[in-house]
Amino acid sequence: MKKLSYRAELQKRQDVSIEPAWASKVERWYQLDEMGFAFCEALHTWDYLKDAIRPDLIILAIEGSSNRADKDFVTSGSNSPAKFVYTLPNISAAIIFQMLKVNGKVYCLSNGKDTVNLAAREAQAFAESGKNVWVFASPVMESSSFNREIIFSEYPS
Amino acid sequence: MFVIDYDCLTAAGPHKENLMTALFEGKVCSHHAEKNDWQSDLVPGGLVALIQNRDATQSTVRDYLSQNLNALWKQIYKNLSQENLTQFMKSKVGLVFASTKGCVEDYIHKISDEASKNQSDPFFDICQDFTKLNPEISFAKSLTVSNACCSSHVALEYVQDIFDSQQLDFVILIAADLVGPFVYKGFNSLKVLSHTENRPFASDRDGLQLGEALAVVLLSRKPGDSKIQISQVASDTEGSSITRPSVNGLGLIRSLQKIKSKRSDLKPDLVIAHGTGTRFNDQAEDQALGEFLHEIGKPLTPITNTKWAIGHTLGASGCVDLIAGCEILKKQKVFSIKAHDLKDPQFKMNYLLGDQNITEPVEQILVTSLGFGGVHASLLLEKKNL
Repeated sequence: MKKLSYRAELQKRQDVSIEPAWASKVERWYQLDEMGFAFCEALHTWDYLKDAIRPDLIILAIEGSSNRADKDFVTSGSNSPAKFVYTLPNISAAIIFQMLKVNGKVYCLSNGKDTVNLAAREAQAFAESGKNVWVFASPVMESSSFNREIIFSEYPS
Repeated sequence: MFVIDYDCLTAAGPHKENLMTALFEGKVCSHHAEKNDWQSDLVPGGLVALIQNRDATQSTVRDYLSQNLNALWKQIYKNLSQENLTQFMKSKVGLVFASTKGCVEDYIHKISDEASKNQSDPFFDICQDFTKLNPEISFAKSLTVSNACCSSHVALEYVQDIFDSQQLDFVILIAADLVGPFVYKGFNSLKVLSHTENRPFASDRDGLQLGEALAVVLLSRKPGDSKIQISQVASDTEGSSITRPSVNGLGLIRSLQKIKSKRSDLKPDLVIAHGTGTRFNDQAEDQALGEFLHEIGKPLTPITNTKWAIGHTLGASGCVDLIAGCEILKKQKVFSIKAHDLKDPQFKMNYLLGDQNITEPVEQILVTSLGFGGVHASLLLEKKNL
């Protein structure tokens, strides 16, 4: 199974005065929340995905869902449309598709602390029934200075 | 997959019968939001269709959703035929929750920044509560699908895949979203809330009205004695824009074409459109439906919708529209968009407006949905075709 990972320190807000290398691929990149920014950095790093055969299904599994973006929206006064759109748990899918210039089927799944493992089990089960599945997951990294990891896994292995 | 039974609680009332009465009788269930709706510092005036008799200050969203989803389920369970009950009790059963924001309103306004990083997602507790309230059911799977306002459609597509791979025999699909300060302020910040009236597909449409709904649908892999089948569900997510549907409704066309690829004899008698009443959504939907219905030789297929009456119920809206479609198939009676009778002259399609009606039999219904994050979806609902 192809597995890639990217560690993201979401504590720091990105400096929007510095244009990232992938800026031209993403609509209003400077409004991305930290999770969206991390996805873009990861995808830019992963050359493998640029030419990989596209899957039948993408599973998006972000532990804790959009809690961080939800809190960000509330603490900013709850009047920022740019912050509100990132409070939708599936929004990273649109960013992934902008980066990879593809379209397709996405299941944004969650189940508390089991979210990342759930995605792996679901992908395995779908792979056994003949589907090619990509999983983009993000567990909470409690014992690390990096507090998020973006993980890509491809099924079947 | 087959629809065994269903019910919903909306601003129209506590059951599906109330929903259908509102749609047939032209009852608009919304009001202009007031500060005392949630005792919050929001900008009043946006249209909201709130569930009656729910005091948002007296119970948490979690408690309200858990208790009332369970009450809807208990009624369905009680009404199961002996054949379905026997099958259900000896089969593999799953629980799928479809929601856009779950019970986020319960904690997000008071939790610290630090604690929010480790807070569980706003959906988990609802699934947990439901399984605990139904210990007689051994759930083989329990999870949430949250694909914005297409959550119900995408959840149904997930169930379709689960059934196709024979992982489960039954799924209890629960869907719910409520409106509170977080959701209201979010949509208000996007300037998509109507402050006048919700008029889907009208030339002077100026936005959506937020709604609340809880819905439960029991789905089966095998027909049993079901009379209704969801023949196909398909979604398409793309990245052309985060908050707007794709240009010319392309994503929706792709989802409809996926359905057609599995059903070459697709001849819908009716479309229940997403129809939020916002400028861009309705335009994209009109273009997509126009192109697709012409392609299949059914350009005059009547189009109706539900949001003018009970509001846009976000992640639950697909389930509410599914239930409305099931009732149309059963009763052979179609509701129109009674909120207005003036179609946008730029739109080409055959919208059922005002007191317009159709008398032809309805065998196939397409139900469409659009959501933030570039997601577009549709499903084909029909009388059982075996």
